[in-house]
Amino acid sequence: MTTSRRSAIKTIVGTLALPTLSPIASVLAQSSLEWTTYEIVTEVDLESPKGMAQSWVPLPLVLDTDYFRTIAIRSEASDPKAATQMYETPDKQARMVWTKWDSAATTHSVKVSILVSTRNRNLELSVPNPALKLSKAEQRFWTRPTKYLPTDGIVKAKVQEALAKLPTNASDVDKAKAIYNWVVDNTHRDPKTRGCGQGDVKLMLETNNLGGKCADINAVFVALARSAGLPARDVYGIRIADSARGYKSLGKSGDITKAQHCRAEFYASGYGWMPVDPADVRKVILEETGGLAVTDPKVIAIRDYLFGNWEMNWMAYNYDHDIALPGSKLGSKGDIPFLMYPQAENNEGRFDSLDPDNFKYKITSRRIG
Amino acid sequence: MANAFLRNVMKLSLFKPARVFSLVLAFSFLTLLSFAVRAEWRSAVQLGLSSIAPSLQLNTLSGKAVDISSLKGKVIVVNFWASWCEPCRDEFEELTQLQENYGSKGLVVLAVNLAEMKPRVMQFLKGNGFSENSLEILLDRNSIAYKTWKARGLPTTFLVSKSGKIEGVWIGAIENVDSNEVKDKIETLLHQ
Repeated sequence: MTTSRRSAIKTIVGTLALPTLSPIASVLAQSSLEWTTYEIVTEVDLESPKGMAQSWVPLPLVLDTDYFRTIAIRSEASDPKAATQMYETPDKQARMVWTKWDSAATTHSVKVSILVSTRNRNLELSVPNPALKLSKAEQRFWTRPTKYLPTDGIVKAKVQEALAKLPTNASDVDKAKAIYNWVVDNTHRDPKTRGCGQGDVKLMLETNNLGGKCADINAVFVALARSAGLPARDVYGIRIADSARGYKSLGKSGDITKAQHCRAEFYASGYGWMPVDPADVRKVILEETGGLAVTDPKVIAIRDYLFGNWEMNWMAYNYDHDIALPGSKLGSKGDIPFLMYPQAENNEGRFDSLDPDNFKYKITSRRIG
Repeated sequence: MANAFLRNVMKLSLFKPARVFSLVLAFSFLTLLSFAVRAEWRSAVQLGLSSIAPSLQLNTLSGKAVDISSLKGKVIVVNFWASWCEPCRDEFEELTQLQENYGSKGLVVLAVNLAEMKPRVMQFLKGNGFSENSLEILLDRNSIAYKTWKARGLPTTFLVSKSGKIEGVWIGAIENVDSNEVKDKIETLLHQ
C-alpha cells in the first residue's frame, strides 16, 4: 500500500465559502461501489465566562490512503471574533482545527464538518513487491521510542519472550503475528479504564497490569513491534458506523461522541503497512453478547480477521504521539500523549476531554453514500 | 502453595509432639499472611522518587489558591483522586475521617482531583453525600501536579512531614485510617 498525494480537499477557515458540502454529488458519481461516504460533524460549545478560550478538534489523516480519503472539511465558529485555522503538527502526522476566542468573545462554539470515504482493508499475503520498503529515515521514525512507548528495558525483555519460539530468519509478518498473539493472550480489556486509556506501556509492563482499553493494548503491540525492529504505529480514530460483520461491540453510528477507537499497523517489507487490532479482539471477548471464551468461534474468527484486515466503519485521525497543542498557555506541560478527542482550555485550565457533558462537545456520523 | 502447606501440616500432625505442631502451624500461618497483597506506606526512594515534596500550587473549588509551601510545620496528606475511580470513592470517606481525627493536631489532607472540571467534582460530592468543605479539594485541571509528584495511578497518597519530606507513599486506596499501619506513621510525624 502506498500513501497518495495530499487530497484536494476544500478547507475553509472561519465562516467562508461552501454554503453546502457540494462536492458530495460529484464524489458519489465517480466513486466505486467499494467506497462508502460519511459525514462526521464535531460541535464544540465552551463555557468561558472570561472570554479567552481555545479549542483543537482532530481532523482525518493528513495524507489519503488506498482505504481512506478526506473529501471536504468545513469549520464554522459562532462568534465573529473567533479565529479558526487548520494546523498540522511539525512531523506532519496529525492535523486539527484550531480555534481561538479572545476576551471580547461572547460565545465559544465551533462546528467542524468532515466528509470522508472509506473502503474495507483486506490485505493478501501472496507475492511480495520488492519496491515496498521504507527508507532508512522512515524506518528510524517508525521504530523510535516515545515518552509512553519505550523500546528498551522491560519492553525489550517482553518482545524477546514473544519471539522466543520463532526461527532467527522469521519474516516481518511472522514476527508481527507472534507479537499480535502475545498481546491478545496477555492483555485484557478493563471496562473501568477511563476513555481509551493512556497508552503508558512502561507502567503497564512494570506493574504487570496489562488491562486497559484500545490506546493501552494497541500501544503495547506498537511498542513491542518497534522494540523488535518492526516499524509500527498507533492509528487514532473514531468509529463512524455499525459493524456489518455481525459484531455489535465493534461499531457505532449516529451519536459517536464516545466512540473513539485506536487501531495499529506494522510495516512488512514487500507488503507495506499492514492493519492489526488486538484491542478489538479483547473487546469482543469481553463485550460481545455477555462475554465470550477465547476458544469461541466468534473470537477465533475475529482474531484471525484483525491481523491483516480492517472493516472501515471507522475514521482514522492520525498516527501522532506526544503532541504540543499550538498556542496552549501550558506550553510543554500541556503536551498530550495522543490526539483522539477534542481539546480545549480557558483561563482556568484545560477542559476534560473525557467529560463531553461538561466540556460540551458532540460528534455525530451519518452515511451519505 | 496453600496445598503444599496443608500437606506439610498433615505430616507434622502425625509425627510431631503437639507443642511443636502448634508452633509450626502459627509460623506457617504468618508466612502465608506475608504473601497476601498488602497496601502499606512505601518509601519514596523505594519507588524511585525524590524524598523532598515537590511544589503544589492549585486552586480550590471556590477558586482560592493553595500553596503547599505555606503549610510548612503541618503534616500533609496529598491524595490524588478522580470521581470515576471506584476505589477513590470509597477512600474519600476515610480521608474525611482522617481530617476530622487529626485536623486539630496539625494534619491537613489535600484531595487533589485529577483533570476533572468543577461541575463533575460537585456532582460527585453531591451524589455521595460529601460536603464541599469536608476536605480541602484542589483541582489539578492540567494534570501538572499529578505528573510533578509522579503519582502511580489513582488513588495515590503522599505523606509529607512538617519539614517537607515525603515520609510515605500509599499506592491504592487507604481502606481504614484507624489501622495501625496508617495511624502509627501519622502520629509519629505529628509528634515530631
